Amino acid sequence: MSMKIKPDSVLITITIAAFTLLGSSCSKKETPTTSTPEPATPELEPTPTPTPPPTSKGEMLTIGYSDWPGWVAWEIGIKKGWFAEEGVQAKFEWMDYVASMEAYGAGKLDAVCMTNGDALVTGATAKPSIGIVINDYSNGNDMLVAKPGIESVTALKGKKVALEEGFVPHLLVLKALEVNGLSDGDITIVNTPTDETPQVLKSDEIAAICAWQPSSGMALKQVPGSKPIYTSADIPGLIYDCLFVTEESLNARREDWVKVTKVWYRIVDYMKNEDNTDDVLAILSARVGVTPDEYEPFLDGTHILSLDEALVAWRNAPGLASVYGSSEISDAFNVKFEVYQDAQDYKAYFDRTLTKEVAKAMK
Amino acid sequence: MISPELKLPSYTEQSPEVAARFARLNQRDLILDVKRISKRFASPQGAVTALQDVSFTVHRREFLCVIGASGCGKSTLVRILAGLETASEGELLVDGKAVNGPGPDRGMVFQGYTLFPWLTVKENVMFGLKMTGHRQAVAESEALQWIELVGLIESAHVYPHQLSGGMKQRVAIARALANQPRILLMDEPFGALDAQTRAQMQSYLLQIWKQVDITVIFITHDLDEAVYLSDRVLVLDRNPGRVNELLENPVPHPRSPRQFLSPEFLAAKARLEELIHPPGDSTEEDRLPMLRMTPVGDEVY
Amino acid sequence: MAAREQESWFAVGRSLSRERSRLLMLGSFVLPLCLWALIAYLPVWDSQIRLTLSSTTESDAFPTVYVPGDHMASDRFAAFQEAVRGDNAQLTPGITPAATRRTNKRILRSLAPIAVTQGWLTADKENDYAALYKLWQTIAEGAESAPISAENQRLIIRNWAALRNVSPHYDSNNFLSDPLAQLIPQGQLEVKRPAFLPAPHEVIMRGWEDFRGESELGELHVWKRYGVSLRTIALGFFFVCIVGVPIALLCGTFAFFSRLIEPFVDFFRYMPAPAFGTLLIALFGIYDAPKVGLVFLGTLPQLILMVANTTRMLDPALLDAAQTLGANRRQLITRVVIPGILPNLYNDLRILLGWAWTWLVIAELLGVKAGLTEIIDTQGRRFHFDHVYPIILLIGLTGFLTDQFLAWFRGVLFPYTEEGASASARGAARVLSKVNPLRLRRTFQPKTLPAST
Repeated sequence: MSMKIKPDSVLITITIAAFTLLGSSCSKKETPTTSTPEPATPELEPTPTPTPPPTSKGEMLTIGYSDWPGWVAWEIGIKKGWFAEEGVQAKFEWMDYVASMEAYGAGKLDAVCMTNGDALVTGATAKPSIGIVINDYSNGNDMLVAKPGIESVTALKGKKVALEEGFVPHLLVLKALEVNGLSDGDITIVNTPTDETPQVLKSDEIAAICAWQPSSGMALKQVPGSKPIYTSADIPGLIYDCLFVTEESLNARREDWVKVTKVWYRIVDYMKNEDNTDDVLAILSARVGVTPDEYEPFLDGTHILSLDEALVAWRNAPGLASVYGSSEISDAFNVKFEVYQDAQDYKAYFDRTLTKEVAKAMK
Repeated sequence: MISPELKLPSYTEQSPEVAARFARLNQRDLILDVKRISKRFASPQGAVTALQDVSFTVHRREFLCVIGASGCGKSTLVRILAGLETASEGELLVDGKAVNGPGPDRGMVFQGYTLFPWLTVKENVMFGLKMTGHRQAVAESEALQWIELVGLIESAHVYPHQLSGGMKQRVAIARALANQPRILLMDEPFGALDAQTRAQMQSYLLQIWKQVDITVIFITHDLDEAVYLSDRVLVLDRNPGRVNELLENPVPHPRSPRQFLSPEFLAAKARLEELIHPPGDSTEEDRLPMLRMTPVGDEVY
Repeated sequence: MAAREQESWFAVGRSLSRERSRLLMLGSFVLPLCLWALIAYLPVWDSQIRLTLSSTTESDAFPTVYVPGDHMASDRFAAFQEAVRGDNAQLTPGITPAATRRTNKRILRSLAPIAVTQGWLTADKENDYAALYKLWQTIAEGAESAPISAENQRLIIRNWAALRNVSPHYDSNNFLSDPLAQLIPQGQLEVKRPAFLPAPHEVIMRGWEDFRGESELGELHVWKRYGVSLRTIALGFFFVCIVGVPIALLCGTFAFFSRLIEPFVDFFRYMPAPAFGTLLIALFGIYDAPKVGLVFLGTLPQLILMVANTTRMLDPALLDAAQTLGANRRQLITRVVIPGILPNLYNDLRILLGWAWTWLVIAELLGVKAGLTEIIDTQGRRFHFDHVYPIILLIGLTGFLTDQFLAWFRGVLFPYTEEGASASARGAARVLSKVNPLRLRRTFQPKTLPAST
């Protein structure tokens, strides 16, 4: 009967509870965490790391990466702790590809993994960037997947193709049309997020989709009998996958970015050794959430460039063998198809000196 | 209501005791002086005059009832007295001082139950004391006295939702009195109660009024209640509301329900009835159209 | 007791008895479950082959990799087997001996899933070639063979002979570089429901594994994600309360603020909060803050309008009464308006907490995906709806149970309301009052009143 809680005390209790929550979240934010909180499984762990060289002061480099096999490969360096060993604090953020470019455009990332073509688009529309590492070129993972019964690109004439407009698949499809003597007016493009293309291919109205792995493989499985009718393997070098950094970060912390480049070539060396293939597949497939067996062909569709191959690609030459030549072609396409208005100074989008520096140090 | 054959004395005839009481009352200090108060509201149909030139005075420890037909502005008047509304014209003096806005010198009991549901009976009664800056301990002991006065000491720690309607209004009276106001304004306080409870509350109110130094202004539309409780009855006309008559109640004190049938009581009531429903006021509109809905020959009357 | 004393189940405007109410509440959950089970278990779904053992083929008809667990129509499965047999008929070595060795290792591994389900191999040994080598030997020598087709048994014997010729034990430096024959895919015919319609038992089993951290969700640990999601909701809701409630109180109390603020808020609430996603990322970064921000932005307009209205609903007679008791404007707000609306404010906030939940999934997609949404999003994308539904159910259950608890707890907090009359709430209130250190029992002695005049 005499029980009574004062309204004031109710408010106070609620407030205290909320502040406790707030406090816990704030303290969490302050401690820097890596993008993957779980430690590497013991068998993946290399021998205890020797005392790391002095880590450069300053904040963490934040790098957005997404589910393209050439970028998932960074996961090896993350899991093995090689960034710390090289003395650079880098925090990789696992994101959707388009979301990562948006976050980069909003100025919330120091670097992002993009294709050379998309870097031009992002630069023209949001924020320019400078490519410092060429991870790979697409060698089959980007696929134009057609419904059963459609055996060639020419058969697509007058049909609907689902893809993410303004990004890599768009470029690939336009190239496929050009090679087959068609123009962009011969098909209807349905703008679809890349990760939704497998569902979309099931619908009756769509004749084909264009996506990269794992979405392209998923689409093949979703629609039995569907086939890749044109892939990046038909035109290697059209799509280079790189690490693009903000100009400010590159100027302010060039040394750190050289270290990141160095880690990349440790990763490449590790991957090129056949004995490590199972370990590599285990790490990469776990990040993406498929089985290692499913992941193995993804690697085949991605040509990871060795340091020597990269130095070749860094040469300024016309044609798809050079990242510059490839970007020139992308730029022309983007302007022609009004992805953006003005031609970009594609040469300003790359800085090959970091790779060369690493190459010099390794020889 | 009252049979015209009944032979009644004039309501102006006062027994010697009653006359002496009024003489004493008029000697007392003037507590409330209402000077030519008018109130106009804006409405979609244009300005409405709710009160016009209302003037009257009230002496200390007087019990004044205000009656009138519905819509005569009784409630507006009491709200102006409480300071919850401002008069368009006129002046209001309490103890000779002009007032504007509500204040603890004028306590009020409302028709609806206005106890604070989140406070116990005791805390409700303490409310005004705490608003006026009394310390907790003082407020508490004061409050308990008033709760005892209204006979609810057993329920001091109970929340209002556990009380009956009559008990709630007793608490409301105690709460208003705890501030020791000069005037207790009551706006049809027993209107929502059933007949038995109302009779009981009227009796309680008279007892409390005798024990406490308080001047009561009591709004009602119930003629019996007005005659039973009041020293004087202020009758308001409607459209616009203005003072029709200030009737001195000839019923002697102490009051008891037995007086309901006394000649003085009936005379006073007859007069009030006459003022509120003047003879010949009944118009055709009050009559229902007569349509026969029973079979012919099924005569009961 | 007699049947005729019972009210009709469909009496207009009457409430039902306690027992009936409980029964119907149970029914409200059981009926949708039954509907789901009915649809899922109806014999309308085609049967398909679920692979238990898979291979790769060079055939163009199968351009992607199939793994155990994938489904195939029967005729396609037959074509798949045929394609592998075709490949076996003309075994070609890889481009390099190393590539062939790699293919051979994969063939070794292809037995692993079936061996794991049979209990011949533990799941952590799927990539342990020494153990696989041994497994092949065991099967080739005929010790274990039940679920392996006779055709594959012959292939295993043939392959094992080739392997043993090189080395009887696994040796990574001495491993067969001639091509082995692929095992022919095996599978079981089972009902294949659409991906979005897993059967109840599948969802329950998968949920059980996921919640215990036993499934292949890997880094997507359910309870950790759940904690993250709860924090996003709690923080968003907390901020919306400390910002929104005072504004709403002002609007509900003073016509000035109501006219000044509410029209814009009313306009703003029709703007889709997710449209501010990119803006939130630009403002708050890619981690928790934009997610909290979206929950905040989505809930704030509703809160202001709802709580302002609740404040206005306060019986004005209480304000009149308080004024005649001497309360000034500040006291009116602190002593009447706030305590007066508290029970209804609590109810509003309870409803708004539900609103906050509806924003969670959209919010968690902003920037770096987080919380339960990452599971829903990544698994949904791979058509693993049997992983998605347990999470959705978890969210629903959390919201429902929180709401039920808060509704009951209202009676404990506000014993003067009607809900405060429930027996359990009274009991809890009594317990709370015992632990309330501020509670003071005061004794009182009524004084005699001053003599009457």
